[in-house]
Amino acid sequence: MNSSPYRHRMLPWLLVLPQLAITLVFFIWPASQALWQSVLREDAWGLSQEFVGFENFADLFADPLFLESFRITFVFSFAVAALSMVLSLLLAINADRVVRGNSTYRTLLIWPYAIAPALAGVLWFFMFNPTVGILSWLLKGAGYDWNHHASGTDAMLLVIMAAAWKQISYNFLFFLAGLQAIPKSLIEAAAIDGAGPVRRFWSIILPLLSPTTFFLLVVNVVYAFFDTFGLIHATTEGGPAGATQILVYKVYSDGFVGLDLGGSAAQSVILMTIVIALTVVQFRYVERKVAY
Amino acid sequence: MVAGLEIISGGEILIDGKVVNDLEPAERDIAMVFQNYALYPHMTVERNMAYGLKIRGLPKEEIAERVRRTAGMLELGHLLDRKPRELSGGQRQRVAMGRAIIREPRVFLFDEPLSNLDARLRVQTRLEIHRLQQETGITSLYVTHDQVEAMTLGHRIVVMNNGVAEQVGTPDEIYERPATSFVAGFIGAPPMSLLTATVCDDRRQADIAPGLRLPLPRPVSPGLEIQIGIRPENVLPCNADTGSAMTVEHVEVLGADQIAHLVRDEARLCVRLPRHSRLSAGDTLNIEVQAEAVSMFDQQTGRAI
Repeated sequence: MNSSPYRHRMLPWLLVLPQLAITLVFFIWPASQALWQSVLREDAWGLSQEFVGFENFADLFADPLFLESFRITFVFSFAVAALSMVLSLLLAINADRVVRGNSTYRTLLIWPYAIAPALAGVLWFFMFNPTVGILSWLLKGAGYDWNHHASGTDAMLLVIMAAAWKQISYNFLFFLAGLQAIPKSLIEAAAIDGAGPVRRFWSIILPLLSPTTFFLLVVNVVYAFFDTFGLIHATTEGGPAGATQILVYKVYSDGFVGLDLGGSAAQSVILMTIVIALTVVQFRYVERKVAY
Repeated sequence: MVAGLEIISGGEILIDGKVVNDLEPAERDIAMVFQNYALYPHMTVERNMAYGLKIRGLPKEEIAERVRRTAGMLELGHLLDRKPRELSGGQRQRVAMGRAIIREPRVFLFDEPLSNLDARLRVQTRLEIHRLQQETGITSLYVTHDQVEAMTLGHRIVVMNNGVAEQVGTPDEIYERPATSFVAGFIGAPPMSLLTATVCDDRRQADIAPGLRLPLPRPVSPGLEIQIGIRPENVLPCNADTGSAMTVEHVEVLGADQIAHLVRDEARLCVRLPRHSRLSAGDTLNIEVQAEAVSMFDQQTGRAI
């Protein structure tokens, strides 16, 4: 018996060929280029190359700026993930309770997702602009002198807010779907068992949402790691003084601004390893659902 | 509504003489068994049962003791460490009951607790619920579509139709003296045969069909059109000279007895026959009905006369 639904043996191959071609040209080829570059040292004009083995990597791990960038990336990613997940969970819980106008509310909350990261960044950049921004003006009224051009903390807070805001829509959708998948009778049973709203949330709703939460945590961290380049590029450009220089941005500025191609490639190889690790985590745990 | 999960549109609900309209579900001291059991999927059987007690802040030792006792009563002792998804339907049902019983509430609510079980398990669990109710002696409100459950478990039955209570009474009252034609046509398997009849001039009989007359239990105004109801077991086969002849339309063999569906013109009724009656479709059967066994209903309102 032939288990394949296709009559010709080549047809399935033909059908996946476009996808394979795209993967090859846009992923496999650059990735192997990066791998190759990471063991070379090249002069800034690209006239000479030298094979240096793992020297680029050794240099990186000896470089305090790179390690600082690592720290910044982790702080940034987890702050973005935490902030956007907490806010979107709050929104989802409230949207779930709304009976009338439910779909309007939901649609409005999904809009930010359609905005490009760079635009989201610029939006917040303007609102917090130290001279003309409305929010920085309000903060000044409250006695805080906001200046993301000078203060590394302010700059970091700014990109965290912008990145988290952009991701709220996505998280909101998943949390809402997760909430709606919890049978109403479970909540009723808990109410009859004497649990108040707060207790119901912590002991019933949150544990039952844990698969969604874990999935979103991975997705958000990946997003903050890799998808926020445009946002940072359009706002702080990694500054001031490298305070918002996350790894992806450092790859760019070292490679294309600093023209240290070998070092930049080595960094992207390290990033690649992180992506692979996160994907493994996702497949091992998320696909199998968090056990409860 | 009784549990406090829905808003009461009118009237008052009293538990132990106390109006509970404005109380939260938690404050009403009730326990509920849901149709889909509503067990907490992320907790073990033990934690499912202990949840309500923990919230009430009972000491750990007492919770453990109560869990042990309840689990023993429901034969769940060996399942305490399992999660709900590792249990069969019947076991989940018992856990759901355990979660209700363990709280020792003032009222139990059962929302069609047996409808997700297969027929054999349903009979078994029905007996178990009966036993538990006897043992605990806690007032129980049991919602069901299955009249066998209602008849066997209920001390008092409320027959509801479109949100209106058609009759409130003991199982016997409901079976013997249905208050409306809806109850008559609902309770019993098969239920009462309902026939349109015109009262004869002698006020003590009614015409069902040309040549088919049945006696009435009480005199009614002549010429009035009424509905009469007769239970299948109250229709008796007899000799040709005393009874009325009807044609057998078909026969259902139920095992312990048989149900013959009789027809004459527009009139149809069911008769319960002993197991070995050799009747088949097309045969003629002579029947008679005792006057006391006939129920009368108003044609318009459906109320018993």
